[in-house]
Amino acid sequence: MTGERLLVTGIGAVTWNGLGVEAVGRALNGGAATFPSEETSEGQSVPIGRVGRLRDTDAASFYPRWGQLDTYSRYGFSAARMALEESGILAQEGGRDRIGVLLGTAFGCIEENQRFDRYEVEDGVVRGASPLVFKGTVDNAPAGWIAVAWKLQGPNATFVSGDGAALEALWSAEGLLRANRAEALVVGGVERFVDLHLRLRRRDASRQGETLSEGSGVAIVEREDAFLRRGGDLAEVRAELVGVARTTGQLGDALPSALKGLGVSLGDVGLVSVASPSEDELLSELGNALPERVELVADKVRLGEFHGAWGGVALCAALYRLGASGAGWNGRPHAVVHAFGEGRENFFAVLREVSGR
Amino acid sequence: MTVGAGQVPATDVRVVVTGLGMVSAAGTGASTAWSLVQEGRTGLRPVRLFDAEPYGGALAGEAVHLERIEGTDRSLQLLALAADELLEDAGWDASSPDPRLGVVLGTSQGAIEDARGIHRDFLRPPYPDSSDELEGIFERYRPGYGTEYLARRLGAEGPRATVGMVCVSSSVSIIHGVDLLRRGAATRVVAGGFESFSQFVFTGFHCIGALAADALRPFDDARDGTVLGEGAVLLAIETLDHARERGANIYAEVVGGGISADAFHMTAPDPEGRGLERAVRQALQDASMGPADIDYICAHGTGTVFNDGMECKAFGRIFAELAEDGRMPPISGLKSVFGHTLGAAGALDALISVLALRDGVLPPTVAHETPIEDWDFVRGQGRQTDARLEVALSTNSAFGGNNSALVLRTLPEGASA
Repeated sequence: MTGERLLVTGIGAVTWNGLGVEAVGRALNGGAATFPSEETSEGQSVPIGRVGRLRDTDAASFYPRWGQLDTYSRYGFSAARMALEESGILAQEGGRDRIGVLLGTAFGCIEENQRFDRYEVEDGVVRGASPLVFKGTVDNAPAGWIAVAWKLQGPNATFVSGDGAALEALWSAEGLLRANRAEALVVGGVERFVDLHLRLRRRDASRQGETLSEGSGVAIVEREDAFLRRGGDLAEVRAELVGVARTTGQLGDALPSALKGLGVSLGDVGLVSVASPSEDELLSELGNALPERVELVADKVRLGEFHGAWGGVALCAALYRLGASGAGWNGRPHAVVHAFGEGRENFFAVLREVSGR
Repeated sequence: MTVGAGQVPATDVRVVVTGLGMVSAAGTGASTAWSLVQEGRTGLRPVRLFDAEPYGGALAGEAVHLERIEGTDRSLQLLALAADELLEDAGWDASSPDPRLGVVLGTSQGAIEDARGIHRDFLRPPYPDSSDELEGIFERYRPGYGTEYLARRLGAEGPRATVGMVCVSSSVSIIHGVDLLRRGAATRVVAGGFESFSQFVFTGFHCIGALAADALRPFDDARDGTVLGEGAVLLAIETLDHARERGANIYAEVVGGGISADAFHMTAPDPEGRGLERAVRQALQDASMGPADIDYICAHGTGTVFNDGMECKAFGRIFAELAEDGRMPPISGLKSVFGHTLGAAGALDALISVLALRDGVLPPTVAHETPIEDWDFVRGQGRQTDARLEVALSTNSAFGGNNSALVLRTLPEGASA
């Protein structure tokens, strides 16, 4: 058992607004986003935060096999590249068998499945089945590519647990790090949408934003002892991960319960980012549970519905706000990032400003 | 109920297996599968789902005793049957919702066979109009749908998670389930995996040249590929305290788990097996055990040249001292019986290992004639053993370079309820 603090030492994001956390910040500062629309076959106009086939010249110059990566994998890979570079973790000597990758996604590799499914059996012969495409038909492709490219040999897992997938990965990562079974983990979420999503998804307006957004949000979460051992400077740390709580029940009850479990007072919280598509709805559900001066945000309004990547992107958004403010979140040391899990579950990741930053 | 809360996983919380459910090429029921294993027979037959002649013909481990029901997703059909058995075996009542019951499942492709129509219809415009039927197919295609379906069926209102890691999916689901129990997120968890046999995956394995010509021969010099299977395999796991309190029948204890990445190649394993070695060592450390504590190894054993060779390299290093003294733990590869069930494979290996520990019988590898190492590969029929058989190691590896290891053990006499 160890009481080591867990630190977020790097973040990276890929969104419709561009590469990097600054692009997330621009979207946050721009008010309600005007998403580009795509036409459906029925003539409907569907807004979507599309990244498309990502071009990341830094990733391409770093990794010779970049061209082989499917689009879904490129999102996670590119976000991980930014986060790893910011953390400086790759500069350290020695093996990487205690550095791993844990990612979440709701829909995974559907695009590659669809691409592979073009094969035909004609005249007694199988035609059009591509081995190169087939290797992308696995939900764990982004985590695999990240591990291969940077030789990250530690724990590696991919959760396909719906909208809470990225925070499911963070919950799991917290356990591995606190048990000292890893010293640093690349953690976050990835999502890629194809026309199938636009045409056939069932919408649940109570939980999902109306605008799908694809991309990735990733953080490097590291044990403080390992960070200091490699000569890390606490002034450069993004924040501390106090912990991830999972609760069932209504938000108004779940949030105070989660904070209590983590030993954090509501009065010390300056930002609550909830995975709701509407701030009005948020206020009616949560407003009475929160003291004044807590900023309650529904970033899906500005960023879109990332489904399984949401937890990772929302984490980046919260950390962007901290970086921009320079003094906690609205002057307070804690922020909460929420995602809905499967069923009646809620995830809450709680961040704390690191003194000395 | 709030859990997580910055806690270190509590290793003093012990987790036990108290119920089993399984559907496979052997039939419905864990005991049916266990009988087939002990008899040294295989459930592999020529493919029935589609005409395999264009592929050169091949075998599959299909659950041929179950008719395919038009309009019903095959993977959910398998899951439902396994769940019914699990409930009865564990003595669980699903009639009232339980917020402390979690579900963690693994799958590789879930409902892929049903999704093939929408794959093709929505490849290029003009697309067909949306409809309830098409939206339903797409909803069931979502990787987490099987978990949601099972949770509803079981009245499980606790944590739900789905693992998408191909062939290690369900072993990692067990490890994640143990984590939920150790960290207090649940008192009971249904952990396991499911996979339906599909032409989609068969075509993929065919195009990468990974399918066996006429038999799946794990760890045999003549091995030439794998055979795909299908199934749903579920384990009821709960805290030892909870199991004792309710007087449950306890099969075994899950004492350790480990996961790792090869970080070598997306589809080929590290030929030296270093990633698998890391996962096994992590699992042993989690179990506070050493290699000498292992009495049986249920290996991944896909029957491909690369996988089985890699596994032997890893085992050779981990158990070097024992091998030198001629005390290498007995090894078997169950895919020769059931085929490679992908997302269900890890749970299948764990379930059979649990039964091996219960009965003191070592499961054999079928179609095994010329071992690739001079070790004790169990052959023929199940081997009743007088030697100690208290601790089993179950290993799996996957595309993406993932590895997993589970350590299971019998409870000391008198420890059970």
